[in-house]
Amino acid sequence: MVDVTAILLQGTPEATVLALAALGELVLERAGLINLGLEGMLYFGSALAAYVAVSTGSLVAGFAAGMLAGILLALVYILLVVGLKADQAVTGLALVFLGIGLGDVIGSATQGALAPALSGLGESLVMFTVLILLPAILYIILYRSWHGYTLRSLGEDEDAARMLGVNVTATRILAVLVAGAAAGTAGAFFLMGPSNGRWSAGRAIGWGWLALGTVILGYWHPVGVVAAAYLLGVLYAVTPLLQELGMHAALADAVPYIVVVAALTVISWMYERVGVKPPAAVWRR
Amino acid sequence: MRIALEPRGPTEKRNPLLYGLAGLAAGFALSILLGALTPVGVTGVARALYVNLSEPRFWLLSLPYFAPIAASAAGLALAYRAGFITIGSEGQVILGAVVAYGLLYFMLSQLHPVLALAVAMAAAALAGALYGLVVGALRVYLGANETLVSLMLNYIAVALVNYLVAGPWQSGPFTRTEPLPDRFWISGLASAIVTTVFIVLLEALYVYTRLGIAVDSISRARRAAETYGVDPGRAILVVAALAGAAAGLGGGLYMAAEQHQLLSLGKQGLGYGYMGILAAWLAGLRPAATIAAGLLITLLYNMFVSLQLQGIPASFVLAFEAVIVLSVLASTTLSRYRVVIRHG
Repeated sequence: MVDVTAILLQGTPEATVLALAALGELVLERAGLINLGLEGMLYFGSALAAYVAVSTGSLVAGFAAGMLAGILLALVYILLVVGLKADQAVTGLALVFLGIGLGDVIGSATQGALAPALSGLGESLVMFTVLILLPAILYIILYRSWHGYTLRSLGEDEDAARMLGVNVTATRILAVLVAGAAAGTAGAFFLMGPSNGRWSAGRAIGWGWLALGTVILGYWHPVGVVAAAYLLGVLYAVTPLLQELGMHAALADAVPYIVVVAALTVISWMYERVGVKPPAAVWRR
Repeated sequence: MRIALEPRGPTEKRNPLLYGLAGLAAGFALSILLGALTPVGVTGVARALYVNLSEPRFWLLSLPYFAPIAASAAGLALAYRAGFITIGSEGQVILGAVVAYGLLYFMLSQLHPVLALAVAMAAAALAGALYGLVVGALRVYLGANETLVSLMLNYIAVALVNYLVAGPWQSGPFTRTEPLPDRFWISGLASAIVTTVFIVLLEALYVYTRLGIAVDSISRARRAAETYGVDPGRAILVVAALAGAAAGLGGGLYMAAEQHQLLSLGKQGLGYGYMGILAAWLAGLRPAATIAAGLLITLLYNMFVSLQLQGIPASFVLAFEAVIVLSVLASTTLSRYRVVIRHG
């Protein structure tokens, strides 16, 4: 007999990692930018968190370092994309490489030492904050406040936003900083939550890309993003179960990705009919 | 006082090549400074770089990587020009390698090597094209975001390899296959030459056929595209297939020139498809220029061997490449803008 409740809860830590990074990216994309560098920010975040948490033995310092790592890469993004108007896709992709490269150098300096891990209670607290409180707050800010309105207007039409009196540069800088801090913190949580403080090269690979997918799957809405993150978390938890049912481990690994493609196809088709639209500056057809 | 960037007029644009070279030099300098983070320090990294770029031996050693990186880049250049932001070349490279290996090892082993290789490479390109078409079709007909779909397909390709090497194609106790018979091995130089010819063909398609007009117009000038009678959906399907074919061919060539067997890929994949994306943008999205950009990324990538020997994590090279790309990107962008300082 399959324990459904266990499955529904099991993927929550992974869903939290995805949701945190994705909610940050959501803010950035609603401001009319796109940052493919999420993967690098999350990875660098987990590495710097590991390095600092191992050397200080402090959980808080680890989280702060993770956030700082994300912000550092966000500053590079700001310099190039907001400052120099360079191409966003290339900048983001280069940040992926930069984050993974620097992350491996810094993370390997921990030489396998364990960083402090979150207690069960601490982990639940973070999960509650990220999966329940954060989307609610973000929803209120984005859809029920003037600041949210101006931010979203940037994602629809930059010139119109400027006419509204929006300070385009300042708003975008703030959005990128939020995205970087969220991704870096997600990396730190990944290390000290689901990974129990053990950093190893390549472990955090792929989560940033999935988080980027989470934004699209959640159709650029805070509630949708958390729902999508949760779906992916559950799928992640189901994978070992498929193996127990006799599916080859490597093939079971592919199942979540196939489900995402199918879900995205259905969702895009459905939402377009209902009239829900992504930010025009990010995704136009 | 405010500092602002203003676009230069068409007549006052600076030479992007000159700016690009300056950016390249600055990028090298910056990335060598990054060496301070590693155990060998700045001088160690500088020495590794010098050795890699100055000794012909290393150029030859790095050539097998040229095929997957540069071929992907050339295909992606067209796709990005059409506003089709796929990152699926990674999966297509992997699929091309799988198809080439499967055909050569299981089906064509009795054939004359040249003929067998030709068939296997064509099949690798075809497989990549079909994989690309899946992404293109989902985008064109159902409106699914191609960036996410192609990313998912990358992971599915990785899972396929991991399944094959641990399942039906496994040989011995390790998760890998038997190597190809050595009559199917080709030199890195041969693979690079085939890649270059293919890239030149893509460039010719871009310059001399309607495809060039189509890809340039559908993302940037919709109305012009409609005036020319370009069907955006069809153009996207064509570039999706072409980019897939290029990456698939690159994967097939890589299999014949370097890897010779399938190995477990873990979570990460091979990474050449992603480097192809960097090379494509480094080349300014011009297919022919991906030959130079691909060669540069390839040479840098090969540095990982000498870095690893000195105890630096191999992926440090990724940071190195990233800094160079960012620096070139910043400088070429500056060539199109003028820095204006306003007072008051």
